Amino acid sequence: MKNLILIAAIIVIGTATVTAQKVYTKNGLISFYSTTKMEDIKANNNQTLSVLNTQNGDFQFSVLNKGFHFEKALMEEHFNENYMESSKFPKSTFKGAITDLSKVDFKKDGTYNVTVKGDLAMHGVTKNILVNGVISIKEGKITASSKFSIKLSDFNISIPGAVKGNIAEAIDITVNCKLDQKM
Amino acid sequence: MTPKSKKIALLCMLAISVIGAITAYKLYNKEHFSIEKAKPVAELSATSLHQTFVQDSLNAKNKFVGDEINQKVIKVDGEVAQVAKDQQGSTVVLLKTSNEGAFINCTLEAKAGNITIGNAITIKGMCTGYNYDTDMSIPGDVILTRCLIAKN
Repeated sequence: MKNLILIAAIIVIGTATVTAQKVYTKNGLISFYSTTKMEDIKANNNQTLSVLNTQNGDFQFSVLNKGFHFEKALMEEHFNENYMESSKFPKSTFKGAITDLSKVDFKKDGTYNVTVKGDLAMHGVTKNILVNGVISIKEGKITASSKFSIKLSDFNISIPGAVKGNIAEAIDITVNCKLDQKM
Repeated sequence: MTPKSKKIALLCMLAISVIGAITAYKLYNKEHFSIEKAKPVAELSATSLHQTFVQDSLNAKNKFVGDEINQKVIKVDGEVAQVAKDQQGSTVVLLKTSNEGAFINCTLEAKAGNITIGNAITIKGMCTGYNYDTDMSIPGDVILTRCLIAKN
Protein backbone atom coordinates (compact mmCIF):
# COMPACT_ATOMS: atom_id res chain seq x y z
CA MET A 1 0.00 0.00 0.00
CA LYS A 2 2.82 2.36 0.98
CA ASN A 3 4.53 1.62 -2.34
CA LEU A 4 1.33 2.41 -4.22
CA ILE A 5 1.05 5.78 -2.47
CA LEU A 6 4.70 6.49 -3.26
CA ILE A 7 4.24 5.64 -6.95
CA ALA A 8 1.09 7.81 -7.10
CA ALA A 9 2.99 10.70 -5.46
CA ILE A 10 5.86 10.35 -7.96
CA ILE A 11 3.38 10.41 -10.87
CA VAL A 12 1.61 13.50 -9.48
CA ILE A 13 4.89 15.37 -8.84
CA GLY A 14 6.23 14.28 -12.23
CA THR A 15 3.13 15.54 -14.02
CA ALA A 16 3.30 18.88 -12.18
CA THR A 17 6.95 19.30 -13.21
CA VAL A 18 6.14 18.51 -16.84
CA THR A 19 3.21 20.94 -16.94
CA ALA A 20 5.31 23.69 -15.33
CA GLN A 21 7.78 23.59 -18.21
CA LYS A 22 5.86 26.23 -20.10
CA VAL A 23 5.91 29.86 -19.06
CA TYR A 24 3.82 32.43 -20.86
CA THR A 25 2.24 35.86 -20.97
CA LYS A 26 -0.78 37.26 -22.73
CA ASN A 27 0.42 40.86 -22.34
CA GLY A 28 3.89 40.84 -23.84
CA LEU A 29 5.18 43.84 -25.75
CA ILE A 30 6.07 43.95 -29.43
CA SER A 31 7.16 47.27 -30.91
CA PHE A 32 8.35 48.29 -34.28
CA TYR A 33 10.33 51.29 -35.26
CA SER A 34 11.00 52.88 -38.60
CA THR A 35 13.40 55.77 -38.92
CA THR A 36 14.12 57.95 -41.96
CA LYS A 37 15.36 61.50 -42.50
CA MET A 38 11.73 62.56 -42.87
CA GLU A 39 10.26 61.01 -39.71
CA ASP A 40 10.36 58.31 -37.05
CA ILE A 41 7.41 55.96 -36.75
CA LYS A 42 6.82 53.75 -33.74
CA ALA A 43 4.01 51.41 -32.79
CA ASN A 44 3.43 49.20 -29.76
CA ASN A 45 1.26 46.20 -29.06
CA ASN A 46 0.97 45.14 -25.43
CA GLN A 47 -1.30 42.14 -25.96
CA THR A 48 1.19 39.66 -27.33
CA LEU A 49 0.57 36.04 -26.44
CA SER A 50 3.95 34.42 -25.95
CA VAL A 51 5.07 31.06 -24.61
CA LEU A 52 8.46 29.51 -23.82
CA ASN A 53 9.08 25.87 -23.11
CA THR A 54 11.97 25.91 -20.64
CA GLN A 55 12.65 22.22 -21.22
CA ASN A 56 13.20 22.20 -25.00
CA GLY A 57 13.51 25.93 -25.81
CA ASP A 58 10.43 26.20 -28.02
CA PHE A 59 9.41 29.84 -28.24
CA GLN A 60 6.32 31.26 -29.90
CA PHE A 61 4.35 34.46 -30.07
CA SER A 62 1.10 35.58 -31.62
CA VAL A 63 -0.03 39.17 -32.00
CA LEU A 64 -3.18 40.76 -33.45
CA ASN A 65 -2.16 43.34 -36.06
CA LYS A 66 -5.08 45.64 -35.30
CA GLY A 67 -3.74 46.07 -31.76
CA PHE A 68 -0.66 48.06 -32.84
CA HIS A 69 -1.10 51.57 -31.56
CA PHE A 70 0.52 54.56 -33.28
CA GLU A 71 0.91 58.11 -32.12
CA LYS A 72 -0.88 59.39 -35.22
CA ALA A 73 -4.28 58.04 -36.27
CA LEU A 74 -3.44 58.35 -39.97
CA MET A 75 -0.35 56.15 -39.57
CA GLU A 76 -2.46 53.52 -37.82
CA GLU A 77 -4.98 53.58 -40.67
CA HIS A 78 -2.26 53.27 -43.33
CA PHE A 79 -0.59 50.46 -41.39
CA ASN A 80 -3.84 48.45 -41.20
CA GLU A 81 -5.17 49.31 -44.63
CA ASN A 82 -2.19 49.58 -46.97
CA TYR A 83 0.73 47.73 -45.41
CA MET A 84 -0.44 44.93 -43.11
CA GLU A 85 -3.91 44.52 -44.66
CA SER A 86 -5.04 43.62 -41.16
CA SER A 87 -8.51 42.33 -42.05
CA LYS A 88 -7.04 39.87 -44.56
CA PHE A 89 -4.03 38.98 -42.36
CA PRO A 90 -5.19 39.57 -38.76
CA LYS A 91 -2.23 37.98 -36.96
CA SER A 92 1.54 37.93 -37.01
CA THR A 93 3.22 34.91 -35.43
CA PHE A 94 6.61 33.47 -34.66
CA LYS A 95 7.19 29.77 -34.09
CA GLY A 96 10.69 28.62 -33.34
CA ALA A 97 13.15 27.71 -30.64
CA ILE A 98 16.19 28.84 -28.71
CA THR A 99 18.99 26.93 -30.42
CA ASP A 100 21.48 27.17 -27.55
CA LEU A 101 19.25 26.57 -24.53
CA SER A 102 22.06 24.89 -22.57
CA LYS A 103 23.51 28.41 -21.99
CA VAL A 104 20.50 29.26 -19.81
CA ASP A 105 20.30 28.23 -16.17
CA PHE A 106 16.67 28.85 -15.31
CA LYS A 107 17.40 28.30 -11.62
CA LYS A 108 19.96 31.10 -11.46
CA ASP A 109 19.29 34.84 -11.82
CA GLY A 110 21.16 36.35 -14.73
CA THR A 111 21.11 37.58 -18.31
CA TYR A 112 21.75 34.99 -20.96
CA ASN A 113 22.43 35.80 -24.62
CA VAL A 114 20.83 33.23 -26.89
CA THR A 115 20.07 32.57 -30.53
CA VAL A 116 16.51 32.04 -31.71
CA LYS A 117 15.59 30.38 -34.98
CA GLY A 118 12.14 29.95 -36.43
CA ASP A 119 9.36 31.04 -38.75
CA LEU A 120 8.07 34.60 -38.69
CA ALA A 121 4.66 34.77 -40.38
CA MET A 122 3.39 38.20 -41.35
CA HIS A 123 1.23 39.61 -44.12
CA GLY A 124 0.68 36.14 -45.60
CA VAL A 125 4.42 35.40 -45.90
CA THR A 126 6.37 32.99 -43.69
CA LYS A 127 10.10 33.50 -43.49
CA ASN A 128 12.68 31.56 -41.53
CA ILE A 129 14.76 33.92 -39.41
CA LEU A 130 17.76 33.58 -37.10
CA VAL A 131 18.04 36.34 -34.49
CA ASN A 132 19.80 37.17 -31.25
CA GLY A 133 17.74 37.14 -28.08
CA VAL A 134 18.16 37.59 -24.36
CA ILE A 135 16.68 35.51 -21.56
CA SER A 136 16.72 37.42 -18.27
CA ILE A 137 15.95 35.74 -14.99
CA LYS A 138 15.25 37.86 -11.95
CA GLU A 139 13.94 36.35 -8.76
CA GLY A 140 12.81 33.35 -10.75
CA LYS A 141 10.79 35.43 -13.26
CA ILE A 142 11.73 34.91 -16.89
CA THR A 143 11.78 37.66 -19.53
CA ALA A 144 12.41 36.91 -23.19
CA SER A 145 13.54 39.77 -25.39
CA SER A 146 14.96 40.33 -28.83
CA LYS A 147 15.61 43.14 -31.25
CA PHE A 148 16.00 42.45 -34.93
CA SER A 149 15.48 44.03 -38.29
CA ILE A 150 13.29 42.85 -41.16
CA LYS A 151 12.97 44.02 -44.74
CA LEU A 152 9.40 44.97 -45.60
CA SER A 153 9.87 43.72 -49.17
CA ASP A 154 10.59 40.20 -47.77
CA PHE A 155 7.01 40.16 -46.50
CA ASN A 156 5.45 41.55 -49.69
CA ILE A 157 4.84 44.92 -48.07
CA SER A 158 5.36 47.68 -50.59
CA ILE A 159 5.55 51.35 -49.77
CA PRO A 160 3.79 53.73 -52.17
CA GLY A 161 6.06 56.22 -53.97
CA ALA A 162 4.46 59.24 -52.28
CA VAL A 163 5.61 58.14 -48.79
CA LYS A 164 8.80 56.26 -49.73
CA GLY A 165 10.94 58.82 -47.91
CA ASN A 166 8.86 58.51 -44.74
CA ILE A 167 9.06 54.76 -44.14
CA ALA A 168 12.31 52.78 -43.86
CA GLU A 169 12.86 49.75 -46.11
CA ALA A 170 14.02 47.80 -43.06
CA ILE A 171 12.25 48.20 -39.74
CA ASP A 172 13.35 47.24 -36.23
CA ILE A 173 11.18 44.83 -34.29
CA THR A 174 11.52 44.62 -30.52
CA VAL A 175 10.05 41.74 -28.53
CA ASN A 176 9.88 42.02 -24.76
CA CYS A 177 7.80 39.43 -22.94
CA LYS A 178 7.69 38.95 -19.17
CA LEU A 179 6.70 35.31 -19.01
CA ASP A 180 5.14 35.43 -15.56
CA GLN A 181 2.42 32.77 -15.97
CA LYS A 182 3.07 29.04 -15.67
CA MET A 183 1.32 25.97 -16.99
CA MET B 1 -3.80 86.28 -71.26
CA THR B 2 -4.13 89.84 -69.93
CA PRO B 3 -2.07 90.87 -66.89
CA LYS B 4 -5.29 90.99 -64.86
CA SER B 5 -6.28 87.40 -65.76
CA LYS B 6 -2.70 86.26 -65.04
CA LYS B 7 -2.96 87.80 -61.58
CA ILE B 8 -6.31 86.08 -60.94
CA ALA B 9 -4.94 82.73 -62.14
CA LEU B 10 -1.90 83.07 -59.85
CA LEU B 11 -4.07 83.98 -56.88
CA CYS B 12 -6.33 80.97 -57.56
CA MET B 13 -3.29 78.65 -57.71
CA LEU B 14 -1.94 80.10 -54.49
CA ALA B 15 -5.32 79.67 -52.76
CA ILE B 16 -5.58 76.05 -53.94
CA SER B 17 -2.03 75.33 -52.70
CA VAL B 18 -2.75 76.87 -49.28
CA ILE B 19 -6.04 74.96 -48.90
CA GLY B 20 -4.29 71.74 -50.02
CA ALA B 21 -1.45 72.23 -47.53
CA ILE B 22 -3.87 72.95 -44.66
CA THR B 23 -5.99 69.89 -45.52
CA ALA B 24 -2.92 67.64 -45.72
CA TYR B 25 -1.60 69.00 -42.40
CA LYS B 26 -4.94 68.45 -40.67
CA LEU B 27 -5.25 64.93 -42.07
CA TYR B 28 -1.68 64.04 -41.05
CA ASN B 29 -2.26 65.27 -37.51
CA LYS B 30 -5.82 64.09 -37.02
CA GLU B 31 -6.46 62.61 -33.60
CA HIS B 32 -7.49 59.07 -32.77
CA PHE B 33 -11.25 58.71 -32.48
CA SER B 34 -12.66 59.12 -28.99
CA ILE B 35 -13.67 55.87 -27.26
CA GLU B 36 -15.78 57.88 -24.84
CA LYS B 37 -17.82 59.48 -27.62
CA ALA B 38 -18.01 56.37 -29.81
CA LYS B 39 -21.33 54.54 -29.89
CA PRO B 40 -20.83 50.89 -28.91
CA VAL B 41 -21.95 48.37 -31.54
CA ALA B 42 -22.86 45.92 -28.77
CA GLU B 43 -23.13 45.57 -25.01
CA LEU B 44 -22.78 42.03 -23.75
CA SER B 45 -21.34 39.85 -21.00
CA ALA B 46 -17.70 38.75 -20.96
CA THR B 47 -18.77 35.10 -21.19
CA SER B 48 -21.06 35.74 -24.13
CA LEU B 49 -18.36 37.71 -26.01
CA HIS B 50 -15.80 34.97 -25.46
CA GLN B 51 -18.21 32.22 -26.45
CA THR B 52 -19.09 34.02 -29.69
CA PHE B 53 -15.40 34.04 -30.67
CA VAL B 54 -14.81 30.44 -29.59
CA GLN B 55 -17.84 29.13 -31.48
CA ASP B 56 -17.59 31.17 -34.68
CA SER B 57 -14.58 33.43 -34.88
CA LEU B 58 -15.47 34.85 -38.31
CA ASN B 59 -18.99 35.78 -37.24
CA ALA B 60 -17.63 37.34 -34.04
CA LYS B 61 -15.06 39.33 -36.01
CA ASN B 62 -17.75 40.69 -38.31
CA LYS B 63 -19.84 41.70 -35.31
CA PHE B 64 -17.24 43.14 -32.95
CA VAL B 65 -14.03 44.02 -34.85
CA GLY B 66 -14.02 46.96 -37.23
CA ASP B 67 -12.37 47.29 -40.61
CA GLU B 68 -9.03 49.00 -41.22
CA ILE B 69 -10.34 52.53 -40.84
CA ASN B 70 -13.56 52.29 -38.85
CA GLN B 71 -12.85 50.45 -35.64
CA LYS B 72 -15.70 49.07 -33.54
CA VAL B 73 -16.25 49.83 -29.88
CA ILE B 74 -18.09 47.47 -27.53
CA LYS B 75 -19.20 47.46 -23.89
CA VAL B 76 -18.49 44.36 -21.87
CA ASP B 77 -19.93 43.46 -18.45
CA GLY B 78 -18.04 41.00 -16.32
CA GLU B 79 -16.33 40.06 -13.08
CA VAL B 80 -12.79 41.31 -12.50
CA ALA B 81 -10.44 38.32 -12.34
CA GLN B 82 -7.13 40.15 -12.25
CA VAL B 83 -5.66 43.66 -12.40
CA ALA B 84 -2.05 44.14 -13.51
CA LYS B 85 0.31 46.58 -15.22
CA ASP B 86 1.78 45.87 -18.64
CA GLN B 87 5.41 46.61 -19.53
CA GLN B 88 4.56 50.20 -20.44
CA GLY B 89 2.71 50.87 -17.21
CA SER B 90 -0.85 50.68 -18.57
CA THR B 91 -3.47 48.92 -16.45
CA VAL B 92 -4.69 45.57 -17.74
CA VAL B 93 -8.00 44.25 -16.43
CA LEU B 94 -8.91 40.62 -17.06
CA LEU B 95 -12.61 39.78 -17.06
CA LYS B 96 -13.70 36.24 -16.22
CA THR B 97 -15.32 34.04 -18.86
CA SER B 98 -16.84 30.58 -18.61
CA ASN B 99 -13.58 29.06 -19.92
CA GLU B 100 -10.94 28.39 -17.27
CA GLY B 101 -7.84 30.49 -17.96
CA ALA B 102 -9.49 32.51 -20.75
CA PHE B 103 -10.36 36.16 -20.26
CA ILE B 104 -11.47 39.37 -21.88
CA ASN B 105 -8.08 41.12 -21.85
CA CYS B 106 -8.68 44.87 -21.47
CA THR B 107 -5.88 47.46 -21.59
CA LEU B 108 -6.98 50.81 -20.20
CA GLU B 109 -6.23 54.01 -22.07
CA ALA B 110 -6.00 56.21 -19.00
CA LYS B 111 -5.44 55.80 -15.29
CA ALA B 112 -8.41 54.38 -13.47
CA GLY B 113 -9.54 54.48 -9.85
CA ASN B 114 -9.69 51.43 -7.64
CA ILE B 115 -10.62 48.25 -9.45
CA THR B 116 -11.36 45.39 -7.09
CA ILE B 117 -10.94 41.74 -7.98
CA GLY B 118 -14.27 39.94 -7.80
CA ASN B 119 -16.35 43.07 -8.44
CA ALA B 120 -18.74 43.52 -11.35
CA ILE B 121 -17.50 46.06 -13.90
CA THR B 122 -18.44 47.41 -17.32
CA ILE B 123 -15.59 48.18 -19.71
CA LYS B 124 -15.85 50.06 -22.99
CA GLY B 125 -13.10 49.59 -25.56
CA MET B 126 -11.99 48.76 -29.07
CA CYS B 127 -12.08 45.06 -29.90
CA THR B 128 -9.10 43.85 -31.93
CA GLY B 129 -9.98 40.14 -32.02
CA TYR B 130 -9.32 36.78 -30.41
CA ASN B 131 -5.68 35.92 -29.74
CA TYR B 132 -5.61 32.14 -29.80
CA ASP B 133 -3.18 29.73 -31.34
CA THR B 134 -3.84 25.98 -31.35
CA ASP B 135 -0.08 25.21 -31.23
CA MET B 136 0.38 27.02 -27.93
CA SER B 137 -2.26 25.09 -25.90
CA ILE B 138 -3.10 28.21 -23.92
CA PRO B 139 -6.72 29.40 -23.59
CA GLY B 140 -7.16 32.42 -25.88
CA ASP B 141 -8.25 35.87 -24.72
CA VAL B 142 -10.52 38.31 -26.55
CA ILE B 143 -8.56 41.55 -26.76
CA LEU B 144 -9.87 45.04 -26.02
CA THR B 145 -7.61 48.08 -26.30
CA ARG B 146 -7.93 51.77 -25.44
CA CYS B 147 -10.46 50.83 -22.75
CA LEU B 148 -12.23 52.97 -20.23
CA ILE B 149 -14.31 51.99 -17.22
CA ALA B 150 -17.98 52.62 -18.04
CA LYS B 151 -19.33 51.35 -14.71
CA ASN B 152 -17.50 50.17 -11.59
